[in-house]
Amino acid sequence: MNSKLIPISIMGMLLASFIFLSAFETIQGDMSNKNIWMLYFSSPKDNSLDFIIENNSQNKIFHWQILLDKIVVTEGDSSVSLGDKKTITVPNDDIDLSNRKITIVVSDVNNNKKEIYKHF
Amino acid sequence: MSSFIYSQILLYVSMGIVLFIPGYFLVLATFLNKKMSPIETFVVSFGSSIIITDLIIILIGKSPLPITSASILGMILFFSLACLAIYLFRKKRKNEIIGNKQGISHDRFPIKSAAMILLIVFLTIFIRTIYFKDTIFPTTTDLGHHMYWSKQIAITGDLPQYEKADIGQDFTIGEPQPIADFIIGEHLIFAAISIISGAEFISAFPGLVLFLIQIISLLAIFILTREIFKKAEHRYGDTIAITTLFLIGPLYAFATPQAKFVSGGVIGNIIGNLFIPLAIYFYVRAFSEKKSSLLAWALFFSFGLAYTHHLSTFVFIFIAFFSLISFAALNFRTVFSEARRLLRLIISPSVLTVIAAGIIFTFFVYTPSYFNQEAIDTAVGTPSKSTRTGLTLGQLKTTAGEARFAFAVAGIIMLFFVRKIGKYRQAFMIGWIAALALMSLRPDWLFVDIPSNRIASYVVFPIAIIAACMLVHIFILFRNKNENTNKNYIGPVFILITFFAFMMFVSADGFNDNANSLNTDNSANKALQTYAAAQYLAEHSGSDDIILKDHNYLSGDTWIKLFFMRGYNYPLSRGYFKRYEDSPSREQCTNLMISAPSSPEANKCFIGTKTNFTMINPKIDSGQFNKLDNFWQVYSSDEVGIYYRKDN
Repeated sequence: MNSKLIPISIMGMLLASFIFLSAFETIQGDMSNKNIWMLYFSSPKDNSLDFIIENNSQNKIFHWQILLDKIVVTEGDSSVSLGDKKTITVPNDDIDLSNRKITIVVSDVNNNKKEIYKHF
Repeated sequence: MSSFIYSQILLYVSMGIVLFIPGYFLVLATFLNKKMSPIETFVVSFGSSIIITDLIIILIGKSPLPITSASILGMILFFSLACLAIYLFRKKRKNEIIGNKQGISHDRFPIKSAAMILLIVFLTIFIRTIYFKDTIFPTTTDLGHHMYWSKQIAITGDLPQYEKADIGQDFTIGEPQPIADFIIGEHLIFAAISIISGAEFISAFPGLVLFLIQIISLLAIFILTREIFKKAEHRYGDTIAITTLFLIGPLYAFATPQAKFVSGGVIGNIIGNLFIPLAIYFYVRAFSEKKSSLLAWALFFSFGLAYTHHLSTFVFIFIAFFSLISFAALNFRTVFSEARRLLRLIISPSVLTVIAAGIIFTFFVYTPSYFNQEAIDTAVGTPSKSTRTGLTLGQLKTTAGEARFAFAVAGIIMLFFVRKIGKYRQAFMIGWIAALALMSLRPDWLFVDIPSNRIASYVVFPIAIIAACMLVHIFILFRNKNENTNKNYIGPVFILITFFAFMMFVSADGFNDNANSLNTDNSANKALQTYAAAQYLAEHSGSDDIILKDHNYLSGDTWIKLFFMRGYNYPLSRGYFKRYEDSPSREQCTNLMISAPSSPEANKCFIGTKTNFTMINPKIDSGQFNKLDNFWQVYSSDEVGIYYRKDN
């Protein structure tokens, strides 16, 4: 047997394996497959209370509450499609924030909750 | 889909350019292809391409040119064309003596042997692919560290300064200090492939490159075994080589230093395991065939090893030393005449050119980062930790694989008596196994101060070769016939049963090891959340912000630094708790700032280091932050919480 066929065949096998693994890694690295969502402030360092819901889950409706210390001051529902981000603006000009803790609590339809907060 | 196909084509073309083309043309220019089989040409072209690409990029880095796709491709093209011109020029010379006409023909394998090789390689690749499908998404610690340096080369277009800034006794972050843990050869090929193809570092490509190197290193062991046994066992040389391939390919496929090293990103070891057998292959051939051109190739691979991995180089020096001793001990009557022959081999244009180029490169172009007294002191001396005092025989047996070890023990004894394989081959085999066995079992005798399990990982290859040799010899003995009766000494049924019993023992042990090592925990989900949080911080922080993350409970945390590219130690990291306990003199800030952020010591650390962002796993470490008024939780996902300290 022509032994040139050996390295050529090995390269063919490796190529098939690499394409399979690359495709698999692409699927693994796709956030939208992971059924996760994140909550974060749009500006982490200043006093802005605007927050973002980043959805990579099958949930579409998210319920959010804004708590001043432990009291709910406003709440609402937001629709965020798979792979999308939604910024929810929180006007804080009228609120006396000194020595207060503002907490943002967001829950999905399965009542999985996440919260972020700022102390003033 | 089209972008996936396009990126795949670019990646494989780039890998071919970086990892095959320059080496192949160097092989052509030196007419080495005329002295080797296609599979040997393939393996040597691959190995030498890694070294040539490294040297080319170092030269570009030391020149006024930036390291870009144009400069890398241009230099590889120039080098390859120069080699091609030399090849064509030499080919035209009628008096050029080419080929190894007196040697054994390497051109053809019997069809059964070729089919067996391909079947074993297919199993080898298939089994590893099954393992890698759960680990190919990049999350592992070592690979993250290495890819930082590769990415730095790619984005700066310059050679990296291996240094990091640590926290000092005054709680502040000091000036960057050199680090000897990284060697340039571990990073350049990844940088080159990424630069040419545009492949992201946080992708499958680093793992695929390591996978490729590992498969080629198994083929390097195959060609070395074939070379060692071709003289003595002309009929069985291929059989021993194929058996070796079986013992290191599909069997024990995941154990150290196999697939686990690939998924773990142990780059230096993986490349070292390619260069060591290739160097030995050329030394064996050079001494046996008395050809200085082959000695030049051996030195070339030794030189490349030194630019790639310090531990492999250290191990190789011991292998060479022990081979020398075993040669002198087994050939003490002819040792001086052999020394004269060696001297004649060395004093030749090709060997002297490689030696001179190596010296000039090392001392005037780029000195490897570990060439300093501190690094040498770390590796040489009385073992300083319990992990460095040597393995027990049982631990070595586990590392080597029980079945392989069993046959190898018998094979080692046999090695001392198989003079017919040739004195050089015998010396190298004894030196190889003796050096690694002693370094693993009794490092104190050799003043080796390196983790013993790391050294033991190198023992797998020589043990597999010796085990394969023993296994084949047993069956040769069984098949021997009585010359008078022309019958086997042992009945064919017994031979068959013994054959299957041995193969069952070896295969069951090897595949059982595979099953135990199979990783069912896919960490991609958790790591993706870490990377999303890192991306958020990269977009919302500047170089004035100091970030601390946790290594204990965040998945893929060492890759976070690739999102910032603000220094090797950026972000700061809380390491494994044991390290703080074992070394009280080590800085404690990174531990305290997460474990006890309200403590006065932690407060000094926050102020001194100016740390204002902390990334932790909320399931483990959120409690201590939630109690504090001066921390804001600014990011929340299932696996990552980010806290901002507003006082800084």
